[in-house]
Formats: sequence, C-alpha cells, structure tokens
Amino acid sequence: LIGTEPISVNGRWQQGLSGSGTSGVQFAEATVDVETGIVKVTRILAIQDCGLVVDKLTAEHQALGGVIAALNFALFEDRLLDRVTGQMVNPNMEWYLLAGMSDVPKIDIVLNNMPERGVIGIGEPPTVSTASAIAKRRAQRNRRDDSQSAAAPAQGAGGARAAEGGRDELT
Amino acid sequence: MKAFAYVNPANEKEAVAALKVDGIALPIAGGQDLLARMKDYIDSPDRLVNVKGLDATVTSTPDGGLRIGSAVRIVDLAEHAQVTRLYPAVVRAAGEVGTPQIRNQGTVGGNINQRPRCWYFRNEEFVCFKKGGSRCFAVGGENQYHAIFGNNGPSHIVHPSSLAVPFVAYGAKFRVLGPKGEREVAAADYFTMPTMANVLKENVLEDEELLTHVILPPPGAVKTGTTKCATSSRTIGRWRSRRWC
Repeated sequence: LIGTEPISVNGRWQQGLSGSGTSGVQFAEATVDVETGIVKVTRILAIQDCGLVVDKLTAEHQALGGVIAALNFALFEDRLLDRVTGQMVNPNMEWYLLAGMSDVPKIDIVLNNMPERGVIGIGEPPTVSTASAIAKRRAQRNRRDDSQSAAAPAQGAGGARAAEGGRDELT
Repeated sequence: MKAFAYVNPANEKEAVAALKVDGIALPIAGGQDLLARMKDYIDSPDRLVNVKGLDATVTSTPDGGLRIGSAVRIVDLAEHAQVTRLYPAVVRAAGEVGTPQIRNQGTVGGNINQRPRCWYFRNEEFVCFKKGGSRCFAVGGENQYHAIFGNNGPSHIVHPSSLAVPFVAYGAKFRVLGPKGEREVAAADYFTMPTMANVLKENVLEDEELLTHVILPPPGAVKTGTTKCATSSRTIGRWRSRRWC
C-alpha cells in the first residue's frame, strides 16, 4: 500500500494500449406469470470482451452494475408524465420503480481477458444488450403463449445476442 | 415542513382533548404515512398528538373475539399467536403491508386511517377534490392505478388499507372516541365512498375523534365477505410485486 505517500509517475500515450470495439454476449433466463404478466428474471450470464483486464474486481462490478441497470430499465423504470399538464406523476421512489434485492437474479460475469487488444471500455455491452435479452426472453414467452396453452414457467437459455447469432459491436 | 407543536397525552381522553385546537391537529402513531405527507406539504398540521402510547395490546373479549388496540404495531399483529390462530386473513394482510421497516413502525390505526396513495393527491402541485380543489386529475390523466369498481367519483381513489379488507370481511367493529364520548362503528360502515359532501375524507371519523380499538367478533360468526372487500382492494400491484420475494 502506498498510504499517504505521494506518487509521481511520468508516462506517454502508447500506440495500441487503448483500444476500441468493445463487445459482449448476454443471456437472460426469466419466468413469466402468464396470469399477471409479472416477469421475474432468474439468471443473467454476461460474457464481456474486455481487452486487457486492469482490475478484475472493478471490471466485474462494472459489469454487475450494468446488468442491474439494464434489469431496471427493462422491467421497472418508467417515467410517467401527466398527459394533460406534462408533470411527472411518479417523481419519487415509491412510484418510480427500481429493482429491489429480491428482484436481482443470479448474475454470472465472464471476463474475456485479451491483453493484445489493449484497454477497452466495458460500460455499454452489459447494460444495453442485457435489457434487449430480457425483452427478447419475454417476447418469446408471449409468442409461445399465443400458440399453445402455457402452464410451464419460461425456463431455459435464451438471449438476444445468442438467438440472433451475432455479437453486438459497440464502439 | 411547517413547524408544529407536539403533544404527549397520558391516556386516550387527553389525546382526544388535545385534538381540539385552533387550527389543525392530527394524531401520530407510527408516522409512516403522516410524516411523508407533511414532507410533501399535503398536510401541514399545527399540532401533532402522539398516540403511540395508547393501548397497544391484543386482548380477548368475553364472547371469544379479540380487541386490538390501534397502537398495536403491524409486525406485532402479524406475529400474534391468537390472531394467527383465529383470524388468518388478518395475519396475511398484515404481512403484506409495505416493507419490514414499515411494518415495524406502522400501527393498526395508522394503516386503517392512511390517506390515498393516488399520485395526484400526493403531489402538492395538483390541487384535487381531496385537497379542496374542483377536479379529479385521474379523469383524463394517468389513471392506471385508480379505482375500477364501485367508485363513480368524484374522486377516483382506491383505499390503500390492507387491514381494512379482513376487518370488513370478519365483521369487525371500530371503537371511536370523541369529545362526546365513544361509539362503535361497523368496519363496513366506517369506510365511505367519495361524494361531493365527504370528498375530503375516506371514513366517518370526525376531526376530533380517534380510532382507538378494532373489535373482532368470534371467528365462528364470520361469513365470507367478498363484495365489501372491493372497498379496499389494493392499489399498487407492481409496488407489491416488486417488494415481495
């Protein structure tokens, strides 16, 4: 530990150390109550292309935070404006919903350490694509409900990226 | 929050006497609803009368029913052995109130007398019928959580009390104490539908009256109460589903 000792380092930007073109694959597993429509996400698997992992703990927690943020805007967050006055009717934590502890699923983060790609961002892939994986999972469930009587919970692997057979490239 | 006086009465008679004031006096028990309303400037009382110290016991009545003090905390009601054995619907409803913190703090009387959870009512910028205004903003507004059954206005609120449902179903009586003495009101008659005449309230409690006890008849006398339950069906399904695990 450095403690209170000051540290002074001189350096220069180096070609190839900072990269771009981050990507990830997200899988979501959810159960849908077909009577109430309530969706419960049971598991998320987030595989993250990180380039060089500088700090594993921080990187994993960045991905965890992104996954939970995505869960929130996929299922809970909704800014409701009064159609007459334009006022927000839910400007508080009672009505503007966020996931509680019991809503957060089992989350697995897999960091794909690839030092040769340099240091690249991990902000967007866990966040943006997790929400679409949850939405896709729900849509699949709903389609199955239309075609057959559905009593069984919607279990099983599924996900936006996997189902579409491609990686979501974000820069 | 507007400044207010705080009165600590020794008994229920003193509490009722303290509710008489030049201005607005409100009883406070757990404060789980009232304090939030005060912070949001929905209520600005001149005096708060502490009723936490009043009867917080559950006792048997001679006919085999139970007498529940208004100051009984919801968590204590939910865990009470006799209530669990005799009135399972009360225990179930008590367990559904808010969150553990709210159940630890909130009381039976507070749950019964809490104000509507309507987001227009709770926003000081919307002066609706219930705040002396001349319209209900849910009409033509965002009304997905407002009344569907049995409420023809003028104010389209849903009563938020979870405990009201089993109390009405079990045929409970509410003991009310006021300056003129005490009276008992059947739970089903205690809650009122909004009319222009009483739109500022959700029950028959007068300004200087206090709900002191809930008196449950022996459980054998219970019929299933379904139609009356509609008076207090829960407002916020999503809110509950989110906090449940």
